Formats: sequence, C-alpha cells, structure tokens
Amino acid sequence: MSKQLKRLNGKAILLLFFAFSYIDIGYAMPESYENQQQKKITITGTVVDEDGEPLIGAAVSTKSKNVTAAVTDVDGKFTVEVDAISETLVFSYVGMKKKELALKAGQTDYRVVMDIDATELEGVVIEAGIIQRNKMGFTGSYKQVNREELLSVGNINVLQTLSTLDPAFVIAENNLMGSDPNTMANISLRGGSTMNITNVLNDQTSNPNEPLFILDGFETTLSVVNDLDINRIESITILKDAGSTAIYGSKGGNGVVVIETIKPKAGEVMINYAGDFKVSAADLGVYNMMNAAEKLEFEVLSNRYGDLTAWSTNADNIAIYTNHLENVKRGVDTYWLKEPIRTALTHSHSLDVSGGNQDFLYQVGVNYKDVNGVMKDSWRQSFGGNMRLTYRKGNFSVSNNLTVSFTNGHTGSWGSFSNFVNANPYYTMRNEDGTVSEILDSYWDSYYSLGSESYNPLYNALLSSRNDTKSHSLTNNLAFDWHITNQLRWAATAQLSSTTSDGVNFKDPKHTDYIGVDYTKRGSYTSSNGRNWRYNVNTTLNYALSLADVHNMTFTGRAEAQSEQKNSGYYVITGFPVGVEGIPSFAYGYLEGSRPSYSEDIDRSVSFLMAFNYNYLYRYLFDVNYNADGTTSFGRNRKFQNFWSVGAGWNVHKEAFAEEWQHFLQELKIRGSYGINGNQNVSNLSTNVYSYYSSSDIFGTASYLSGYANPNLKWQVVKKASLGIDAVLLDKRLDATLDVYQTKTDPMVVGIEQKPSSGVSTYPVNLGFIQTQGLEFTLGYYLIRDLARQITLNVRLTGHTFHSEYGGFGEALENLNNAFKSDDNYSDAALNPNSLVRFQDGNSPTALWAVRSLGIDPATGREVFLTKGGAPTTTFSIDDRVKVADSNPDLRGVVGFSLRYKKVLANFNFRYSLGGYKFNSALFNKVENISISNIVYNQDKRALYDRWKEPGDVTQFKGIAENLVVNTVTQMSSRFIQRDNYFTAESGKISWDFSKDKWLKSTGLKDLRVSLSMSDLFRLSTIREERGTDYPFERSVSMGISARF
Amino acid sequence: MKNMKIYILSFLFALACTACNDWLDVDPKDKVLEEKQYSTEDYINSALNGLYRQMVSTNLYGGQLSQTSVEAMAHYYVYSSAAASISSDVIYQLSKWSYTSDRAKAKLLNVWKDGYSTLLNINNYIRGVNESPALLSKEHKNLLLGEAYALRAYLHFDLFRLYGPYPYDANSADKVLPYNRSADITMNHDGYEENIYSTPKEYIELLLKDIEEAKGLLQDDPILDPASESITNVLQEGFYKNRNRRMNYYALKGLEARVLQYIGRDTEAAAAAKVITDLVEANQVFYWMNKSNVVRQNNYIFFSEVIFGINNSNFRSNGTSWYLGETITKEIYVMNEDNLMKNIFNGYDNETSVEELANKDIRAKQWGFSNLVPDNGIVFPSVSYYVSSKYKVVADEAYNAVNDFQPLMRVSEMYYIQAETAMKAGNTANAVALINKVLVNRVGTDQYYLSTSATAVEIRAALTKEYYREFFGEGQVWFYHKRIQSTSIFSGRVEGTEDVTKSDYIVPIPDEEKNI
Repeated sequence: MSKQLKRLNGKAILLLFFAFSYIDIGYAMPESYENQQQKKITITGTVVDEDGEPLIGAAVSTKSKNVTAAVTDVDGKFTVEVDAISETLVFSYVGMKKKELALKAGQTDYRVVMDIDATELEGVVIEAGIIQRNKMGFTGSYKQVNREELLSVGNINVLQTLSTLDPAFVIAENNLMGSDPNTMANISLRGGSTMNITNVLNDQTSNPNEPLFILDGFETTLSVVNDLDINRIESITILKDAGSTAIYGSKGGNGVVVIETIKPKAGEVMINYAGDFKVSAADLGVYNMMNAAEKLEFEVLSNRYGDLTAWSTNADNIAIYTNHLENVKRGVDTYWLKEPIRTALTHSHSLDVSGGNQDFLYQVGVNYKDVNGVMKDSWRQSFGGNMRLTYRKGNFSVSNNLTVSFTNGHTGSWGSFSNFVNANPYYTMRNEDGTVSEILDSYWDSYYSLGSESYNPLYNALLSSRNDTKSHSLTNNLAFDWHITNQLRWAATAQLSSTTSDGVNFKDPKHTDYIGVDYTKRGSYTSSNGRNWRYNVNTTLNYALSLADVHNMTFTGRAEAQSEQKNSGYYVITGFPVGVEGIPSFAYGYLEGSRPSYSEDIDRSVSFLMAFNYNYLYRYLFDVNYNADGTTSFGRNRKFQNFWSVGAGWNVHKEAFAEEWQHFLQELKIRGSYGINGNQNVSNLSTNVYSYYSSSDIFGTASYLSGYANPNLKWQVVKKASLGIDAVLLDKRLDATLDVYQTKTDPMVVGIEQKPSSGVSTYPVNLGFIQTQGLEFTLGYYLIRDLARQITLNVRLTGHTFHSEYGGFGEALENLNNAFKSDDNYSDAALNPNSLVRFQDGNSPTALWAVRSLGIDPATGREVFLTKGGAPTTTFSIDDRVKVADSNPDLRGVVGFSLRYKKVLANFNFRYSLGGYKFNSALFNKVENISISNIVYNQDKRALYDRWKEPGDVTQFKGIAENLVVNTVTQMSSRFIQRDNYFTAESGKISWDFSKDKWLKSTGLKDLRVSLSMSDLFRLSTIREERGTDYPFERSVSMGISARF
Repeated sequence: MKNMKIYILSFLFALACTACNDWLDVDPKDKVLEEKQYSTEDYINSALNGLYRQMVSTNLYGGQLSQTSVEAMAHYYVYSSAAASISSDVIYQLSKWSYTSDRAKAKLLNVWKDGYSTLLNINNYIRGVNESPALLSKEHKNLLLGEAYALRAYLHFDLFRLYGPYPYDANSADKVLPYNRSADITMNHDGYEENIYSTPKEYIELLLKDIEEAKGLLQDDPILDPASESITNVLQEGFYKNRNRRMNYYALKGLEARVLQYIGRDTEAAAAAKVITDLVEANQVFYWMNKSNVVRQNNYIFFSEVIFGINNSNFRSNGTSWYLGETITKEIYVMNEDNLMKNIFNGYDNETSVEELANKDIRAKQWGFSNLVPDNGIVFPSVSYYVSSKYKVVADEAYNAVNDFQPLMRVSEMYYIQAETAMKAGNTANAVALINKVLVNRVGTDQYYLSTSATAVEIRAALTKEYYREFFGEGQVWFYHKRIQSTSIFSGRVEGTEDVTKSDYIVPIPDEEKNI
C-alpha cells in the first residue's frame, strides 16, 4: 500500500515543479496583458466605511465582466481601467453591502462609502487551520487575533504577544533560564490537561500540556513559532473548547494555536519593509547580594575564622581574616554581576514583495532576526525566506508556498549567571598583574575535616567553551482549490518538510571541572544531530446549502495522512589539548565506555473528519464534529480512536424581538459545546518492546525488554465542556466575551511504582482524573470613540481563573508522594523541593505542601512548627505536611489601554496576578541553610540583617550561628512560602502613522509607520525573590519601522 | 484533462485510505516489538544473548556479585578508617557490614533491582520461546529454553544467598524472598508478600525444580559431546560454541552441587560435584592448567578450569576504574599487604618466609603493587597495597578466550565441596587428598601440601584460605562464610580476624521493596 502513497507523493512533487515553472511565466505576464489593452479610461478613487476609515482589500469589479479588476490598497485607494464611461463599478467587501457606482463622464476620481451589512457578517470566516468556520454560525470558543492587533502590542516575539492578548494562553515564567534567547517557553492553554510528574520521577518528557501549533494548515513546532517573523502573520486563532478542537482529534487535547501567514493580494507591486531594533538590559535589581564589608561581617558572625583573639592557636585563620579585611579596607568590592552581562542589541528585518493580477499572484519574502541575549556571547539568529505563488483559472486555483529557514543559536563560555551572583565580593576578578586565577576562595574546617572551594567564574568564562545549535528547514506546501459549484468546493493540500539540526557542546579542557582529572579526560565535545522528514497529504470537500434562505447548512469531509520520520544521534569525545577550540580531530578519543547513540522513529497518522454545521436564520446554531484518528502511537491493537463534539448557539441579536434593542445591543451570542479530545504528548505502550544493546559480542546482537506494556491500557482522553457569551453593546463601545469551562482528563495514564521484585520500576495504568474548572473574560470599552476625528481611547481587561484538582487516585500514588524521601539527590528529605508537591484526591496539582511554621521564637531564636494536629512543636517532622497554599493564582490577566490620537497610537498592557503563592528559594538557600561549605559564596543581604541575633529579636529568620556552627539544616516549612501577587508593565508601544502626511510622497514611500515600545519596564511584587538564576531577565526598549514602497 | 487529474488524485487517495490500516503498522528500527522478537531463531538468539548481557551489569556479575561489593563484604579490600566521617565510602560501609548508610543501601538496592528485572526478562523470554511460531529444531529449542531455566535458578540462588535468611532453616515459615517465575507484573497490592514471596523451603524447592527442568532440556548441550570442541582457547564464531561462556550442562551440575551444599544436603552435593571432577580426572572437557603457562600467559583466571563464566565486554574498562585509581575514597578496590601475605598466603606450613611462600603459590603471582595515593587526611592501616592482574588480561590471538571473561564457577570448587563433605563425614584423609589435588596444581613443592594427618579444624582453616586464594573476584567467599556460619573473618586491614555476627550476614531487603 505504501507504494500507492509513494506514487501519490511523486505526483505531488511533479505538481510542485509545475508550480515553480510558473515563476518565469508569471513575470512575463503583466506586460503582455497590458499590451492588449486599447483606449482605456483610468478611474481612481478611495473606498471608505461609514466612519470614513479606508477599507483595505475591497474588491472592485466592472459590472459587464464581473471579474475583480482591482483591490484597494492600505489607504483604500484603487485604480481601474474601463473600456467605456458607461461602465458601472461594483465594490464588495466582507461585512459590507455591495455598492454599485455608475461612472460619470468627466469624473475619474471617486469617493465610495460602503455600508455595513449585518447579513454579510455571516460570511466572516474563522480560520480553524484545517477547515474554515463561519463566524456567525460557529458555536466554538476561540480567540482570533489579526495582524493589526498583534503589531499593536509587540514587534518581536509572537508567543509573548499572544500571551498579552489572550488570558488563557499562559507562558510559565522560567525562573531558572530568565530571558535566555535559546530556551523555549513552556506554554499551556486553559491550565493544561494532564499531570506533570517530571520533577518527581525525573521523567524527560517535554511539556505534556503544550498546545498544538498549526501553521498554514500543517502541524509545526514551538521553536518554529518562536522564530517566526511576526510581520509574516496574517492572523492567529486560538481554539480552546472541544467544539473548536475536536477536528484535531487525538492532538487537540491541550488546545490549538492556528497561525496563518499573509497571502498575496491582487494589485500593483507592493514592497513592504519592517525593521525592529531592540536594546535590552539585564534586570539586576532582583539580586540582593551582600557587599564586601557585609559579607566579611557575616563571615565573622558565622564563625568562619574561629576565635579572632586566640593568636596562638588560631593564627592561620586570623591571617586569612586579616587578608580579607585588608581587601575590604583597600576598597575591594567587586560587583561580579556586571561582568557577564551587556546591553544587548537585537534587530530584525523583513522584506516582502507581493502583487499580481487575478490569474497570477506572487509573494516573496525574506527575513532576518538577530536576537542578542543580555548575557555576553549568547545569541540566536534566524534567517528565512518564503515564496508563494498562486495561479487561478476560472474556479480552479493552485498555489505553492516554499519556506526555508535557518536558525543558529549560541551560548558562550559564561556559564550560569549564578556563579557570578555567588562570587565573594572582597576578591578582585583579576590579580594585580592582570591574570585570572582559577580558585577564588577556599575554606577548610579542621574540626569536621570538611573543606570547600569556589572557583573564579571569570576564569571559566575566558575559556573557549560553547554551546551551538543550528537548524535548517525547508517546507513546501502545495494547495489545490476547486469551486466545483457555488455550493461545492474541493481542496487538497500536500506538505513536504525537512528539518536538520546540529548541536555542538564544547567544554574547554582548562575548565575548573577538570581540575585533577587525567589529561585524556579533560574537555568534552558533544555532537548531536537530528533529522526530521515529514509529508502530509489531505483532501477536503465542502458543501454549503441554504434551504429557503432560512436553513443554512455546511458539511465538511476531510481525510489526511501524515508520516514523519525522525532520526537523531549523538556522540561525546574527550581529552582535548589546551588551546584547541573544540576541534574533534585533536581529541584523545571517545568518552570511555561511550558509543555513538542513534535513534530512528517513524510516526504515521491518518485522520478522517466530518463536520456539520446548521443554523436557522443564523439565530439557532448547531455544530457536530466527528474525527476518527489512527496513529502508530496508539499501538497495534487499537489503531483508531474516535473523537467528537457537539455544540449549540443562539444569536440573540438576530431575533425579531431584538430589533428594538438595536441601539444598545449590536451582538449577543450564547454558545456551548461538549466533546472529547486526546493528548498525544503523553506516550503510551500497548505491546512489550525490546531494545538492542548498543554493541554486539561473540554471540551476536543482544536485546532486552525495554518497555513493559499494559495491554489493557486505555488512551488518555480529555472531556471538555464550555459555555460562553460574546456581546457587543452600547453602540459598539463595549465588547465582552465570557467563557466558563470544565475539562476532565479521565482516565489518565499514570506510571505506578512497583515493588522492584516484580522486575519493573513503574507500570502504566489508567488511574485517576484531573478536573479543571475555569472562567476567562475579555472586556473592552471605548471611553472615547470619535472615528471621524480619529480619536479613540479603549480600555481592556482580561482575566483568567481556574482551579484544577485530582481525583480517583486513592492511595495508589502514596509512593510517588513519598518518593522525595529516598531521593539520592537530597541527603535530607526536608530539603527536597519535591516535598512541596503531592498527588492527592481533591487537591490541586499546583498546591504547595509544607509543615506549618509559627515563625522564630524571639526568646530562643528557634523555629516553632505546628504538627498536623495543630500543636506547636520545635521538632520538625516531614510527615506533618499539610496543604499550605496554591501556586496557581486566583486571578490573572492583563489590563491595558490603547489611545489613538490622529496618527499616533499608544498601547499599554499591564499583567496582574493575584492570590498565588510561591516557595521563595532565595530565602531558603541564601538566607538560611547556608551550610558551612557554602561560606565561600556570597549570600543574600537578609542573611546578615534580618536574622535573629539575641533573645527578644522578632525576626523572620533563624540566627546566623544556627546554620553554620551547629551545622543544622533549616527545613522547608511554610515560612518560606510567600504570597506572589504581582503587577508588571509587560508591554507598551507608541506608533506614529505617517502615511497620510504629504511629505511622504516626495520620498517615494507610500506608507511609513514608526513605533517605540518597551517591555517589562517595571515589576511590583509582594515577594522578594531572586529571579533568573542561571540567566537574568531583561528589560528592553525597541524601535520599529515599517515602510511600504 | 484538469478533471482527470483530480479524479486520479482522488482515486489514489481513496486507495490509500482503504489500506491505511497496513500503513499504520510501522516497525520501529532501533526497537523490536515483542511479537517480532520471538518470530525467528535469530531474534530469539538475540534475546537469549540479552539475558547474559543483563547479567554482566556492574550491579550483578559484572561487579557487585563478582568483583566489588560481595568481595568487600568478604574483606578482600582495604578501606580507610577515617572514611566514615569524611565521606560515604562504600567499601568502608560494606566491610563493616553496615547496610543502612545511604550509599550502601543504594548499592544493594541496585543488585535487587537488576536481579529481579533480569528475572522478568528471563520469564518473558521463556514465555516468548514457548509461544514462538519460529521453526526451531528440537535440539535448539531445548537448549534455548534450558539455558534460561538454568539462569533463572542461578540468579535466584545468588539473591537467596545475599538477601536470604541466616542460617538456612527448612522449617521456617517466614516468607523471605520472591521466586519469580511469571512474566506478568503482579501489581502491588495488599498480600503481595503472602502471595509472591516464598518460605526458604518453598524457594529452594522451586529452585531445584528449575534445575531439574533445565537438566532435562540441556541433554542436547554440545558440551556433552566430546567431539564438539565447545570449549577452545580461541573464541569461536557460532551461537552454540564457547560453552563455558554459557549456562551449560556442567555449570548446571555445579550449581546443583552449590545449592545442595548450601542447604546441608552434603552427600548429594558431593555426588553432583563428582560428575565434574570425574571429567577432570579423565582429562575431559575441563583440565588443570599447566602451572608454568599460567604465569607466562597471565592466565590467572585458569581458563581451562572454568566451568561457567560470562562474556563481559566492559571488563577491562571496569577493572581499570576499580583497581587503578588514584585515591582510596574513590572506590578503589585494593588489597592490604598484611591481609594478602599474612592472612591469606601464610599458613600451609610452619614456613616463616613470607616471600618464599608467595613465590611458590602461582595464585599469589597475580598480585602486584598498587599505585594508590592516599587522600589527604586519611589514616591508613598499612603501607603497601596490592592489585590483582587477574582481570587485566590482554591475551594473544592464539589464546583470546581469556579476554573479557568473568569466571563464576570453577573445578576447584567441586573438589572443595567434596572435601568438605568428606570432612564432615569424618573422613579427613579423603578430605585432605581432595584439597591436595588442587594444591598440586597450584604450588610447586609438596612441603606446602596439606598434611594427611590434618584434623577437621585444620582442614576447615585450609579450606577457608583456599577459598580466598582461589576465588578472588568471583563472589564466592562471602557466601562461603555465610554457609559455614563463620564467627570470624580475616580483618582485611591488618593481620588477624574480625568477629562477624548473625546480623552481619543478613543484608536487609531494600526499603523500596518494603515501602511500595
């Protein structure tokens, strides 16, 4: 059978070449077309709406030919040539009544005002990626963001912009990697659908709650979206409920983000340029470290130097102290944090040329983005190009879009930012002669025979370590579209996509990690590579029917087949001579005992979709979707899985009785849906799998049972119910959307830990469920809406609240809950952050569990806890943990406003989060729990100032000596869990539109917009924590230019 | 024409979809689905080979059950007295028979985990071969299954010796350990111990039953055919060659002897052992190494005397990291001079010259000075350390069978088993004669042989030393002590002994097993 597919493939490739061969013809065409015209009259004009706003993209046709002759440009202007002055021009635009204009002799310039047509709104299309939905008749919950909205918020990162615009689209803040340009965001929609046990079980699966990304109708990856040129985007639609995601079947469980790129429009050649220049600086205000004098004082208090008066017995330590003191007196107070950071300039450019006539359209674009991180020597560059060609003949059209992209990421030798944060300030970075020593500080405790050393972070930074990633991808989409009749439409698309990625991670042989290591093992070079080859073919049949103009029906049938082959491998070599910058041929050999790794996977899926939509006069709406998905990952015995959804809606404003409310109610839709989806991000095993040992011996190859399956395992299914209201009120001044939803993942697939004597460590079973209830809203109100004078002020408020809880586990996960107690990485269970997490029925996945603390007893300086029963005690027992707080905020969202005054548009968005809690690890690790060996590192100021010193001190923190001299640990108690309310100035953007200015014409430009934007300008928070442990967060200001020629 | 195109495309697509069920059957390339793993003889061979590969894990016979942990418990290795306070030195913990420290716990948990996970693989393999549609000759199928049953018994026996009760008590009603014979995971539930665990008696009965099963199946073992050349000095291509690297029929007999002796059925044990020593006496299959060749070839594994061993391709690299490291705190397995010279190699006679004694016994010649550098601040009990070159073999092509070979059972043990039986039966002369049969092949002159007038106590002392001399790095000595219920063991750090008590012999079942 795959033979047939190969032939089909061959066919697709053949057609692809056809499409390319049109390039030459395409350029020749306009010329010959013009030559044929004789005695033409040129008519120009402007098309505007009732408010006087120019309409872009309105179609102009002549009544005699009934073919689109021109499309209005961004100023609403058009130029057509007619054969005779008796001609009548017909104007059409989505959502507007058709307008006819009889030409008058002697007048060649017209101003055409088009009226809004309520009934035409029904033609507005929601882009659901693989199929299109009619806006008025659709019952699903979605958020569509157009180009203008996207650009009004941000210029550079699509994902960041989306999270500002939709409250359900949440980017988890990465406290570890901060604003590292090479770290991908962790995204979830509506709180996700499954549990994440990565931390507890050391599972390496990537984010199982990540939504599906669809680019121009085909699946894509988060990193492609991250690097996407925002100027290429036409619209983004976020599909949230089952009514809108059921068409994606097994993949839609976490929601779907549909991105459409710009399609060429007929008309004269348009050249667009957009450039953006961003200056960013690290936010160092969050690091609250001691200065040199403070650190030394702290060390004395913590008894690092012992008795400073005992000259005879403690001479060595006194000498060390004196040395440090001299440094402080000399004025040495090194601000290490400044060394690895820089003011980074990021710039991006995109150039786009498009045009054509109604038979042939083209669009060619190139873009370049150079993102520089605020840590030195960290950047990500992407370069891409695309070419889209469309050929139309009658009712048939073929279009082809070829996209290439190259991305290079680089992280230099500076390592983790925390190394600099933690360096002791009474040392200089460089010695007096300019050299940089390896070891900064060392400490030896003869009593405990314990010592520690801290390395000079600058020493490692000056070496040639690096981490490089490169990826190249080539994607070609070919689409056929045939309007067989007015009602029947057939479409087919095919995609071929190839991605190659390479990574090199080199650690210099002089790195302090290799001190005392044999020369054959110093330095390491890891080379990794991945290849991904995918093809996808699909065909869609659409049938629309309107009976007696009251019963409107559409039917969509779709079939799709996709195959994806993934290869990856890596190897590690070691033993580099000094001075060679990671050149593999200079290495001593492969890492001892290591072999090259290789893996190859083929994932195939087929999907059959049926979608039916019915409405009665656009008043009563009904949707039903059915999807049968077959994939290789379901396993042998059940290749197919069914998914479905039903939805209903009521357009109240369409009712006869609503006629009289028209002055205040323009639109009111009530809708609801229920359905099921799958989540493919969770892996599943239905048959036992054997793997090969990586090498063979005298007896040949060897294989072992690598995956023990549960044949009775059911697929993880997400059940979603959603209810929503969309309203436009008060003469379109108020715009409101409200959604309540419930998702239930039931059953889940959970790996249950087994007694090792069974032979396996975990066994996948269907167990428990996770249920999420949430509410999201978007409100927009025009305080000022003077369209004629172009003065508007719009305020917006979005919010999202949800609560998730587990159920059905019973006692089954108690072992998982107690796994932290025997975690090899933590000597003491009370120090293990996994103790904060519990999987327990009726409780949220984000609940924080800890032993309650009453604080520090002013009399003794010791911490007083509460037992489970509520009795005060000074003895800590990890089994006294109770649910203390929840890290999921009660309400989060964005509040913003946009002000337009003539040609200036200002848009500001502030993010708020209320009611969340957080474990403050800076307090835990840098204020208390400074173990005797950590004295060689710098600490938080609060460790010196806010700690208990003598009886009667009312403080939040234990005495200094509590941790150091006695060397006891501070346990994770509720004392370190703090309220995390915050308010940040997420984005602000001011743009000027010079397109109406007269001076512009003389420059040859048709349009010019300039913008200035800022991100993360300030942050107000109830928690004082260290954000950006390994990489700092950034604040940035950028300037953008967009011009059209 | 245009319409034709569309029709053709649609037709092809329709065809594609009717066949998509097949299209979704994708076999992964770097993995094999179970069904396929047992579909042909080649795949089955690969699965059997996989069982042996699992057994050379450093947690099993590639380390902990051969050269590292159990040998540390038998006090072969030196450790620092200060180790406990400055680091969690696992050699120190194990030598002190302290099984509760985190590192010792983790080590011993890994033996348990890997042991039972290998047993699950064995069980799944037995089921797979039994249900396999592959065309297998009767001989091959019997061998393929017989080795698996024998391996199941072998591995279970060592888990029993390590974690099992002390002493062995056939009347005990305590459920001690699980004897796993099922390929199905039994979910943890209440009553797991009652249902899955066995009493000592049940456990041994199941074990002996597997041995009997394997015995029937291994009747076709090529090792039984003297003409098969199934053990040669040069490794041979072929799945049923190199039989001493496989669980062969004689290895099974040796295992039977070990098991029977362990549970006190000495006479039967001696009878099983005699099957092998009879071969040696007849110079068939296994024969004594020529003493001069041992040193010349660096053949301290005494290759031609090995009944059973495992092919371990990580042998040399593991050995390098265990014996050639630089500091003692980094898990370096070296022997103390006093222990080696005074405890182990002194005592054949009244001979006082340590040097001469060590020179006479060829087994002592494998020991050379270590380049160990003591860590700062650590107090050492002695000055010189020795490392063995037994596992640093680089042999020439004409004798490459010694490469990568971890011996686990040898003919000398079969003599010792019979000698001990004779000694217990009061037949000391016979016991001495059997021990001297080994010594003749180890020591040059008869002055070091065991005196024919030796008493039972002297024979016991001699046997203990013989175990130390003979089985270094083969994981037998600790279990020998546990079986004979020794109350003292060579110190390992100084000349003399240390007391060992009942609790020291019981390695606790890992917390992970109990708590889940």
